[in-house]
Amino acid sequence: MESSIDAEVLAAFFEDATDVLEQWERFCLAINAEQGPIKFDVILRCAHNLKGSAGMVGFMSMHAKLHKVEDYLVELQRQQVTATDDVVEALLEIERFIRRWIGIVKLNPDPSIEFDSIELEKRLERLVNNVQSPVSEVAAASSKSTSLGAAAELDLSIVKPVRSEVRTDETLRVAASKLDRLIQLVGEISLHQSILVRAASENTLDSDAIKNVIDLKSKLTQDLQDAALSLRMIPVESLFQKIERMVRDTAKREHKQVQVHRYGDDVALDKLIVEGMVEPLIHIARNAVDHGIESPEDRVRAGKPAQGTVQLIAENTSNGVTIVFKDDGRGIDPERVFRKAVEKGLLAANSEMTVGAKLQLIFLPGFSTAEAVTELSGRGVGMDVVAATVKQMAGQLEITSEVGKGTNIQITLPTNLSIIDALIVRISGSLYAVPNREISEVIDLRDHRIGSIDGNQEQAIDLRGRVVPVALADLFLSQNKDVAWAQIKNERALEPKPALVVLLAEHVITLAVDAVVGQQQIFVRPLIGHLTSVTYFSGSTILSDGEPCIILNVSEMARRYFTSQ
Amino acid sequence: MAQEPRSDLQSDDSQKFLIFQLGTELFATPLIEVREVIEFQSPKPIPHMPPFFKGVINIRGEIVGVIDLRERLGLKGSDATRCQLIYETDAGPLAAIVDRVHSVTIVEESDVDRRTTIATPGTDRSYFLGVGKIDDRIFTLVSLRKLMKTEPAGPVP
Repeated sequence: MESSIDAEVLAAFFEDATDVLEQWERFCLAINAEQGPIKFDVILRCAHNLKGSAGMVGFMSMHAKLHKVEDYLVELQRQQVTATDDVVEALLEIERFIRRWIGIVKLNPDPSIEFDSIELEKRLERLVNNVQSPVSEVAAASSKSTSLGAAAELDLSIVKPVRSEVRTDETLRVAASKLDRLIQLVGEISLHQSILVRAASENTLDSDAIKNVIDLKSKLTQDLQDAALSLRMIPVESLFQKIERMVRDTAKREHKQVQVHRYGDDVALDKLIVEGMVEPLIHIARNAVDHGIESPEDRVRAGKPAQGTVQLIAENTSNGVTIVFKDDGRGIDPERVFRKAVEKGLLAANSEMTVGAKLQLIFLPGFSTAEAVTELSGRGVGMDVVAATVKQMAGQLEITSEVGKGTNIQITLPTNLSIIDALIVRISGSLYAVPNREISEVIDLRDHRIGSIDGNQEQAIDLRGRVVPVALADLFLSQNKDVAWAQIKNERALEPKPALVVLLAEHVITLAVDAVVGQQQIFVRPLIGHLTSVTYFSGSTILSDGEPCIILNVSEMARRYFTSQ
Repeated sequence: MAQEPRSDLQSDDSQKFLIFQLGTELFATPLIEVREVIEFQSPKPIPHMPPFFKGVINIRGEIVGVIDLRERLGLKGSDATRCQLIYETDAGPLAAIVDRVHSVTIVEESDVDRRTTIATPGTDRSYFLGVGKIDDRIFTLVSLRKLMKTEPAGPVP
């Protein structure tokens, strides 16, 4: 046996394995006892295929173990077992073992590795010999074995290398129908192109027929853009599946009863976003089960059903996709969160905040510590990391909770990272793009009374009863970097101008621009070299007239305005 | 991108250079560093940039930063017909404005003086590759890529 394995063969093997594990998991989560004897075909095929590829790559030990697994599955099928809790758990346990083996060979693809499956075999043996084993016994058996905890830990360590691998050499699985659509559109566009070329050579460009062709071509180009973007979109199903699994595993370990309801599995998001949401949601799920959902006894005492419920909801909304994680656990007390934040020195004890705002404090960096775990039932552990990840994906995060009733975490994400709706504005003669999601509205300053705040020289308007400061966007962008911040606030020469209303947490500011030129979808490109040094820039793009254009980070301008006070 | 680029077609002792003019002076850069040469395209100015950074242009759907090489190197000259050399850097493509592109020439290593005696203490001059000679005219060898790396950092507002 050769000790080194061809990298391509290995990559194909891992791809197979990922598929198999996903199918296996989906199968286990879908079956239930009411369906009668389990139809093992799917996972039998999974085990068989994986056994085959493992043998081909040269992982003989894995090949042998999978062969045994196959035997057990055949036996279970012969016994016509139904999907009772312990059968499903055992099947998931097999998946866990396989995942662990795959994780090990991923880190060290050495064909001579011997895999240990004694625990697994014992468990399967027990299942085959005594299908009606009481749940408690199985639970006791599995809690005795350390394999569960170890597998869960290992799972996480595997997640990371896979992700970094994705970054360096990202491959996408795309439905053939999507590619066919793309090819068809490209074909149609080139057909129209040739009509135009001929018309140009015959000097007949200025005709109604050609105008129709141009109209059609712009529609086709839009379709092509949509089709090209859809290549990167994948449904959240795989993400939700992982989370459901996490909830089940955690519940089992904590001896809690939790059912998971998934809605909107087919809602699609950019692959990078779906992948990026795995860790934040795992965090949220684990927190919810560990600390949110009470033990069955406590729940009954509180007048709730013994079994807790977790809901995972994905929905298409006007700003993108909303993912909601809902539990019916004990909830979070905003006052305790607030007191904790004060103790941590994150804000002053006399800070005035709404109840809702107090709850959001758990997302602050530095809020969660080991101490907070016991004090606050652990909610908030790693929540700052969750918040940071969501922000990185240009998303928004909100938590609502009712003590005794449950907690609701809502994440709003853009459907894709590369195309956004933006407002095109003119500031000191140049065009800039401002992402729609960063502004709450556009107003005409002429419609509002401009005055100064408290006799200060700072300008402000009355926006539906709220005093909102006005700043000139071009002063943030002035070439003269010696412009003092005071000057912005003292700016008296506020001509009537359109202004963008920017919300920044509690604060509101209006940024006056020279003109709002229009609105269009822009393709976000990264900033090149020198431009990255300016925090007011978030990206670059090319406008419909071919002009390069900077995408402004108006939230940063607002932040700058308020922190410089 | 890390190691010094060198054309496979050339022996170790000679290399193709693009010779260009800034003001009255001749400069040369390894041809392999230059992606293309385009006619001068007016850049769109960007705020908060160093003075030699003239803005950005759109080259076939790609956003390219524009630097005025003459200004960057502190030289004087007129704004007559100019052109831009497009080259890649680790931070994205850049277009260097030069006054005129002279020629592409194979320069023998023996015609290059690589003793960088004009280095000023305390300044990074690693972009300066040496001084060469063709047809009795002296030219300065510069690496555009390294010039970008030794960039004075842009001001942060």
